[in-house]
Amino acid sequence: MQKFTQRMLCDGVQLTCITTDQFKTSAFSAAFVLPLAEENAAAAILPYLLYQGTEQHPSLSALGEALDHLYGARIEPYVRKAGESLVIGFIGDSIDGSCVPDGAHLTTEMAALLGQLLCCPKLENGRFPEAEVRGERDNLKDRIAALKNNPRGYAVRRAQEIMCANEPFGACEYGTEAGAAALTSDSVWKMYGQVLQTARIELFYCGTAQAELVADAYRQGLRLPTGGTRYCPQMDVCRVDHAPRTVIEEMPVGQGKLTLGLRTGLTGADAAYPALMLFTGVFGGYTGSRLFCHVREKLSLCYYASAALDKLKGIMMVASGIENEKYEEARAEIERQLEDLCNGGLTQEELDNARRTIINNVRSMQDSPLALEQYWQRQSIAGLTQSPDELIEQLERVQRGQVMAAGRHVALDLVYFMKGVGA
Amino acid sequence: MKQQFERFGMEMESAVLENGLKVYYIPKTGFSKTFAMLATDFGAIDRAFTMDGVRYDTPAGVAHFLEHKMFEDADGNALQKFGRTGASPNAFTSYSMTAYHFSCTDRFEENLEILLKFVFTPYFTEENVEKEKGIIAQEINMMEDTPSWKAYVGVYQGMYGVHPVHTSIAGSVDSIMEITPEILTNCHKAFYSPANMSLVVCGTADFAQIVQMAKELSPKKAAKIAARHYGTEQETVAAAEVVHRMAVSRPNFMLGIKDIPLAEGESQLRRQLIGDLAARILCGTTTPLFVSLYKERLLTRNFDSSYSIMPQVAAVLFDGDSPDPYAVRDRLAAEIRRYVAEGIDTELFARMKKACYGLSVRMLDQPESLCQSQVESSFAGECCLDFAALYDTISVQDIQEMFARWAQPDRMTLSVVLPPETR
Repeated sequence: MQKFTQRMLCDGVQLTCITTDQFKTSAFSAAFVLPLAEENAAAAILPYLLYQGTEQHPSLSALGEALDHLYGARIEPYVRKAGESLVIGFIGDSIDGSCVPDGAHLTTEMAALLGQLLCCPKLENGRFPEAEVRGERDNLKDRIAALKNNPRGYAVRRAQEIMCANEPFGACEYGTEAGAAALTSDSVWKMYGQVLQTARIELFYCGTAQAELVADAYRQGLRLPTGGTRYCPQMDVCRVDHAPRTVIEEMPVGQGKLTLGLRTGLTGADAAYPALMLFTGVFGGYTGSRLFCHVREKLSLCYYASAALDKLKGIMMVASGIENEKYEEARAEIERQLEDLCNGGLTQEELDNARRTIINNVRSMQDSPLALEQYWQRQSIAGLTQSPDELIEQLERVQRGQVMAAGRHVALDLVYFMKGVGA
Repeated sequence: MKQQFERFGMEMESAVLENGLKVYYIPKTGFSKTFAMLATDFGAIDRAFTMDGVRYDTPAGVAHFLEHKMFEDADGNALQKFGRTGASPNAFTSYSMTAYHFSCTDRFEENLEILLKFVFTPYFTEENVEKEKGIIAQEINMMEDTPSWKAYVGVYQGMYGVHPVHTSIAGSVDSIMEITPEILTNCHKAFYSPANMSLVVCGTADFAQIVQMAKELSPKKAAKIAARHYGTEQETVAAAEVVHRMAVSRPNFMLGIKDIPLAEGESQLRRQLIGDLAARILCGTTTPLFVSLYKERLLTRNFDSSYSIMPQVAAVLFDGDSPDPYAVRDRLAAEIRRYVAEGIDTELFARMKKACYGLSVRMLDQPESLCQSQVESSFAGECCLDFAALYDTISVQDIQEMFARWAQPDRMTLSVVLPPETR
């Protein structure tokens, strides 16, 4: 049994709490949410910089030692993009206090530590230590450059960047290499001040402790300036009013990556969203989908071909890895399957199969504290309150006609081919 | 047989069928999904074997190819059958095993039936084998473009000169072209004997029912398992350095230290726990050494270690990216020598042991990892939930002995993926 609560600890600071005795793991997350900017380097450096030490644990070694004593608890800095918002903070997990005889303090210590990581950094002369700013600036630069080292992920990232070039969503959440290189101790400190003052804060906990206790523990660490207005995320769904574009770029890799960017105009806030999820499932969401059965199994064109939705941005991305010479053939087949589904080719059987698979996936999410963290953080940022169970209820009710109608919202915006020109 | 593990509130039921198939059930109260894994003790390294007096030398990548082809039966593809029940199926091939699995939130028995049927029923035709070559070639091409994978394959290539672990799991685009239905049939006959396999279920199910179904749907008689040939391997590495060049933004590396294979009668699980603990003590992300390397910008948070055990193989691996992997190697080697000379601080040992224990307990929340861990343990005749009792037997001396082996000359291989323009 999972008991779900959401509460505002103060204006713009929200805690999402799932109390359950299902797990031996407790999960935590604490993050600042701010608008995605054209250049995000000054914000993206912050979680890594804050991780260098707190007032109480004033070095990386001291922090590491504290985590080891909490039964090897983990806390990792992260930078995420959620719609047109930037999320910077920390994800953590620890053994649940109920699993060890001396575990009563584990939850409160973890929550307090996360709050301190956000708000009580170790400072030198009232600033972040100069050497650490330089180190993390260079690490950030390297991290941005390294995005290209994973061609599969980079192809989708690059396609979104081209597709949404004129929207905040098109910006890289880590910033640009040039932006990172230009960071100074002054600019970073100024950004931190601004974040403390204006960012929304999202806190999460899943474990055996009651919400009240968790709220108190987080409060211990949070030290926030009062007054001023905290950021309220907005969703921005763009429809396209132009013909599909094709962009081909060369990369020094072997395999070509064919990526399609589609606009749906629908987000999690729309009543038609569950129907769109089903449409995406049938099209490319699992091993029974059109893309898997036709592009991979029938034509042997690729190892992977799949479609995924962004619930906050209302876009669908199709990703596949193919032999460079098969570009035309693969593109034609992907577009053919999409067209067929929109033009009445969707059968009741394939809808029911996709529905069962998607419901299975949503239900399974409730077995993973970290999956619940991701789900609820995105829900909160989008201003949505629907629980996984409520989503399942809606998915069960969707009719074939509604799925086809949702499919007709799907419009091809960009065909992006990252052509491999030799490793 | 039912075993209780009171320290962390778990239990496991097990049985060995007359045909030798080992069956395990680990209940997970409160979980929505049930996960099942059927695996054979047959992986990429089992390429040379003798069956009925005949020696077979098969092409690289055959176990992985067989994994792909098992899904197909005369009455259709198992992936599509799972598609109709809503389960999420998948499979993987490692150096030492092949595993087929699904997770579902309902219709468990129907899914288990599909799993048992397709894994025990070979169906290979000239046509379906040819068709799969295109798909697997694209999978290989994708992996070839992944720097961390190149470093992983390279480290085994360097450590082992004779043992078949020196070849990539999926083989090469050339080697898979030699695969025929006859070769696949022989491998299935040699290693998909129930006596060479384990079925592990984790979630909510009825053990008696699982056993009954396994009895009905597995071959009545176990075929004799073929004798495998791994060659005679030296204790030292074949090459101290393996270098690949790719379009990476910075060097990626994997450092391997060749350990001695398991001795006759030695517990695999205990060795695994000692190896993981030793790696954490040496350079886990909370150690003084890691913190120094991080501060000097020789390592980033993208750094991990693992201890790996296979037949006639045991090694510890450290992976990450670094501007100078050679310096990282030298610092790790120096730290090992220091521990051998000065001994390990008992406080540090206790702290790291506590942390490793916490990580093991958290693994119990992940049905996938838990099932895989039990499959590996079952092939070694052990039970993965014995980890807590085994931890109690591990002393500083065990770690000290392992470090002494790691410190011996010519035990290290550094596999690096360098950008084209450097060193």
